[in-house]
Amino acid sequence: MSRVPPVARLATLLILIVATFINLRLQLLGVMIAALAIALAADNLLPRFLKFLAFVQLPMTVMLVAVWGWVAKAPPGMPMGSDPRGGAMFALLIALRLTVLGGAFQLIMLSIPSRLLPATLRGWGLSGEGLVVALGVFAVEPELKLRAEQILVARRARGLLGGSRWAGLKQLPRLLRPLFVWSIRSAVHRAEVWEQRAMLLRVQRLPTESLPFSPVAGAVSVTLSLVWLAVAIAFRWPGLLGFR
Amino acid sequence: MSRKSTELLLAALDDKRILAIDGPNFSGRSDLLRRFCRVISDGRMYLGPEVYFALSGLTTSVRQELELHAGGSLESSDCLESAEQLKLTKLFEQHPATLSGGEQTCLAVLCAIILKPKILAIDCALEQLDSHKLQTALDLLQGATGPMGGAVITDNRLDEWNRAIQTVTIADLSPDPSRHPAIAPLDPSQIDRLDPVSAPVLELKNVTAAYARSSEVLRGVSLTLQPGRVYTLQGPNGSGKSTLAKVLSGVLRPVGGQIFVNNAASNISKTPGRIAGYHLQNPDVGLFEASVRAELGFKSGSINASAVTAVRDAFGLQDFAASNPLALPFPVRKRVSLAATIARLPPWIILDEPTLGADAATIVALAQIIQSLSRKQHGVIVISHSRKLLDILRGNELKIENGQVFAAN
Repeated sequence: MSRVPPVARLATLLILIVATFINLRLQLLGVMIAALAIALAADNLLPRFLKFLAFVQLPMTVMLVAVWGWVAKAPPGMPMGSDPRGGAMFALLIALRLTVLGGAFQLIMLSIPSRLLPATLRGWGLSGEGLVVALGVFAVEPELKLRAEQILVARRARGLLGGSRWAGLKQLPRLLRPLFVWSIRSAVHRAEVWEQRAMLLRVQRLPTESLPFSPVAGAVSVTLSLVWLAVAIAFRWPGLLGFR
Repeated sequence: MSRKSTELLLAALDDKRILAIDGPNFSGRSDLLRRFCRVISDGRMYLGPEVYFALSGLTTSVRQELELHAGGSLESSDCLESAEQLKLTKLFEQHPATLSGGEQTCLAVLCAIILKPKILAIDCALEQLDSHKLQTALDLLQGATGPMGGAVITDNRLDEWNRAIQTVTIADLSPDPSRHPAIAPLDPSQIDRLDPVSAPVLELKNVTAAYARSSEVLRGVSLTLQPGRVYTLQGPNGSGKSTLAKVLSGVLRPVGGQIFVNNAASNISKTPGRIAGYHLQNPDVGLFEASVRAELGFKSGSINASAVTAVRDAFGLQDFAASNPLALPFPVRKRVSLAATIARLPPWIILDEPTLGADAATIVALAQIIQSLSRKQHGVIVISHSRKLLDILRGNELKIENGQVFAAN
């Protein structure tokens, strides 16, 4: 995915989103998750996807199934307690759709190499402050993670924290204050730096030519997403594509 | 700062490629440079000791940061050679925040130079550079690559520079004394109030250390450190000095080899910072609390209050008990961070660049504090590029290069 041009990348994402919402079949969503996992693995993003599944999707799925299958015992629009299985199936459908969307977002957004990020964002029509904000969004997660690690290192270096992962986890609340303060200080200092260096103008001038985008990779990406859309339409409205 | 100060500074800089401002801490140097650079329309740019804030925060690699400043691909710009001279090319794919302090400084200086500001003001930022990179940075500032109208520099190592630089004293620039009240000097005699400790012998045998997804930083290091002595650790930027400090303090678990404490194999990474407390180069990372009092540990139940008081007084922090550490000037933040590490009285104390932002008098007093700690049987390891500090300490010299550590004398 790393060489997919910006427009094809955005088109792929939009088609995937539409196809996912059209889809009502759990099996098809399962197949799509498997396909996404393969694509994510090819871009070395599978560990992040698995983390997303374990820490976000799994707890949310459990909660959704509990609410619709056990508490409401019916899908929306039906009398409460009338169809527990239907309620659970509805919850699963929502959870699987969100999983597909999460995977699609990770595949499309996180596979952008840092070198191609400004060109990709500009290819999506972002400019000026919008572009700076978007770049900041991509940069803030790794930086916050690094800062959090540095704070843990500093606490350990002063003997305030044990060496185990559990000790680190227990320190999470103590991490928040210095991280928050660091974010504010960083914003204040950088505002001055950006102004002095006319950063808004510089971001506009980031190179866009001779970058290794591949039209073929773009065509393949869009075609595969269109296939997924066609399958979704065929199962939802068989008559529309001539299927019965 | 009065208009007069600005005019005096501009007049002093006239036709000079580099002008240094000499003066002690809290004499108004930083204040002058900061205010001087607030006139953005004149193309003035400020680079302070907090170099990590001088980077854009918009990029995830060194290459991207340089391209952002160059306004084009590195290959098509003329800064590739400068990056090579500052040894940044091998770091191109690294995240700027993962670089060592010296490497971050090289990047920040190069980014500033690329922009060709009319005047570049560098406030104590060059103190983090080793002597080779300092010379390279000065060459770049001096040459055609440098700022268009010249660079104004404050630095506490001016007398250690291997070249003559036009210098003006801060007093000649008529700073406004009301903007920088006097701050108590360090008082090394307070350390005499501490009780002696019983520090263990530390021994590394064939220790190898690396960070996730990176090559080995330390390769088969073997070393024996005796308590009650001062060791100085020197080496180029990015050579692994801080990594060795992390291994010794138990913050970083080695990937190979063993650590012995009093001849017994020990997993010190289970209790990091207890046998060896480690003061990080960047003071801001190690300040967590809302007041200096809390930072030093006065609110902690397990501390020795009289010892903390002695350390607080040694670092001249009596008047800052209620202050927010991060709201203090850089040299005072550095003092707070140093005091917070020492106040817990770890048997071994590792100080990473303790003289950053410190003037000559502070360096002398700091050296006396370190020597007093060693007399109290603490083992002390000092990582520093300050020739002045190293000359006063005359400690057991350790050199680090290419992941190997060896005794220099």
